[in-house]
Amino acid sequence: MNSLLLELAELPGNLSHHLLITLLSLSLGILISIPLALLAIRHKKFQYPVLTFVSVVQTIPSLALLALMVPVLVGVNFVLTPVTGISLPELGFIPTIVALTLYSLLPILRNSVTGLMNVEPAIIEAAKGVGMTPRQSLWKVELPLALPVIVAGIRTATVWTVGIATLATPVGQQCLGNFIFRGLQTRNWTAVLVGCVAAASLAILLDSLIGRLQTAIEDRKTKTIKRTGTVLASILVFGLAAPTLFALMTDTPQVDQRTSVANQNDEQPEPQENIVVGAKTFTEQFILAELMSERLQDAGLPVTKKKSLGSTIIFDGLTTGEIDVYVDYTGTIWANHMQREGTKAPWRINAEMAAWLEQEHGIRTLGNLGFENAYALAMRREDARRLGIETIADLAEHAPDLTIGGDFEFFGRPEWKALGQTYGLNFEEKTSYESTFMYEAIKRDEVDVISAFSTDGRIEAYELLVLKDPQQAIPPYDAVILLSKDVADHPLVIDSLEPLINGIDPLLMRRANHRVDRDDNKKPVNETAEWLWGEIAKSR
Amino acid sequence: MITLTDIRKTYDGGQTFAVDGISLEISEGDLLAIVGESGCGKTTLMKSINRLNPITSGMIEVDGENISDLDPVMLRRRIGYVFQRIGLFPHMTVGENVATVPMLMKWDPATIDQRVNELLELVHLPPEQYRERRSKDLSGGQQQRVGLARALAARPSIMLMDEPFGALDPMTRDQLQNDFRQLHDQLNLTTIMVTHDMVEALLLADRIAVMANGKILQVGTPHELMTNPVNETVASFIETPKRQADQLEALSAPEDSA
Repeated sequence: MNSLLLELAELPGNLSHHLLITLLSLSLGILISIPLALLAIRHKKFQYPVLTFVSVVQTIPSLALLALMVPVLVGVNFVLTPVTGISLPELGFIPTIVALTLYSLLPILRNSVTGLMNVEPAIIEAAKGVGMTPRQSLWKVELPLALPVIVAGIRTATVWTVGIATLATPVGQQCLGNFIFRGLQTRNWTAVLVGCVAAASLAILLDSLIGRLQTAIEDRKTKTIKRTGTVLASILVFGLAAPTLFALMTDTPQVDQRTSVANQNDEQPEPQENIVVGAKTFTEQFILAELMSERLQDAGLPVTKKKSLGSTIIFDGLTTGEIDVYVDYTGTIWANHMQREGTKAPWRINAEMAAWLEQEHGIRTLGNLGFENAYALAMRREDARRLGIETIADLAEHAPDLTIGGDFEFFGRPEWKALGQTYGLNFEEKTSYESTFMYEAIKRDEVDVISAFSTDGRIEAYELLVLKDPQQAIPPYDAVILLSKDVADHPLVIDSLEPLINGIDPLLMRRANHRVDRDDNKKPVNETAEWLWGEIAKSR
Repeated sequence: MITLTDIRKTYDGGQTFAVDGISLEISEGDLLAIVGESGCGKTTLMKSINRLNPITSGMIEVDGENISDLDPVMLRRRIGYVFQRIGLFPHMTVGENVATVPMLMKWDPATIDQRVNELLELVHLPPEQYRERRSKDLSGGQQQRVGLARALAARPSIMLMDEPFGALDPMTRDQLQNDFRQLHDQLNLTTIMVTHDMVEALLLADRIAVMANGKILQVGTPHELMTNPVNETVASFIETPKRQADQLEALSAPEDSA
């Protein structure tokens, strides 16, 4: 019960942003689709390219479309910024709105075209015959007759958009997806449920209201049309203002005040900008982001948190200054961003990485947290003992009879390639899982080997063995705090985060992760972050 | 007064002609019926008069003006048009349908209001009962009365009617035919009516033009057609109604006691 209340406390914030992105995208979708439909009806040669374009957009999986908007905006800025001095935010709101708007086009456009095409030719001829101009015929006859079909399209688009908007979390937009993504990562089913129920209820509410409007238009019930229209318009206005209202009401410095348009010429002292703390998609990242946010807030700095970001998205965010601080792992930077092959001694990697980050992106490496969270291969201890496997080299001999599960990233990462090259691994079958389900899979004997993180609390809990990497195919993964160039020399930021450096040993991190991930007596992320800070302070 | 001079219409660049060199004069107050089988070009010909269907060559004059010099939209508002499949706007009420052309011509609302009531009275649909009804809730005959009222709304002197009574049951048709003829005389209209029903043409029209393959075979009063058809084809059009009339006559004759 308690955990439900905790989740519900986050509902107004997540819901208000969800409303904003859904309703704004739908409004833009309507504003774009209907003129496009008219164009397609009046000029038949546009019909095919326009409908094909929106259909193709629709075939792109929604999560991919959202994620694709990030590099697209980077590209847009590449052209736009030198010319105009304006740079669009590459994370969060803008990519979300662009992607959701694109997604809403198809149902509205297709229905508008169909609705307009299906108006009986005899009626259009009658309109012409009584002396209507083409424009009058469109506004007085064709559009009113097509309206129920157009509204049906808007209805479909609404339900889709409410659902798809939950996928905006990984590109850094707050929404109801925050519950779902966080819940999936931390095995917090209450959070997942709250997110799903809220999104479904919103979809049902809007669907039934628009459905009522549609029937009223068909039956020409003017009163119902007016009443339902008013309710929908109020929801729209309220939804568009919701995040602002919510921020005013709670009066926290959560509002993202940054405007990317350069306004450096102002004489006035620069407004205090929020420090944006990023987190990737797993528990440890949530805890560390929370811990750093609390440190910064304690120092009186306003903080915005962006959680559940993909590895590439979060790093790109740091280079552009969309993200100010987050924790990454040396091996990830080494292999993925520096594109280096092979590995070196941890201290060499550390030094080379810090120099590269500074030189290429002005990013400051504040220091190591004190633990390593390496990609590792793990298997059930019992199996390992039975087969006599201790190292990845041992594993290679048995691999053709074994199956492996990886998280979404693993099989696409250079580490996997390096493992293959070094040990000649060749499994019978490989499967990608969401990481929570990957652990479930090994627990339930559905796979034999998984790609684990060495600090994961579930390694102990599920009696797994982390296999040794004698050839050092996988680089070290020391956790490091990275600062964007905007805050690289910010004394308050540095002072407040410095105590964390070398403050968390591997065992402590594993314990913290386990508090959040375990099934019974689960602790919320923020409580765990506080606990962790207590432990760090104690050992000092 | 409508004058057609050597009208031609082709859809295939001149290989065949849907209307093939027709000249015709309809004097003021005349009710002309154009009769012919489907595809003979009669509807094409009529639609050319309000430029719904532009002609390929020839000249059409309405009250002395060449219609190709007129704005087609303005021309259409001047000419009443009753459509084959009624063509009421299904999303509008009866009153809104009737008010269409006056609204397009931006009459003032009070005048429109009065005119709508007047017209509904004229076509025997009491306004208090019918004005707010949706057109789809009316019977076919009532719908065509609304169609007629809509066509008459802006006081046109010319009416074009495309098989206006074709879709109605015989009783309703008869009633509407009579009502229309009365209106035609009362309002001193000039009417061109397309029909494939020779009986309708014979009983209603002042003059009849018989068409086949895009050409006019004969123009004349019903009496002239009945008594003096110019060729076999025209005669065959007349023959069926004549024979039916004879059969009906025979039926109503006193029974032969022999």
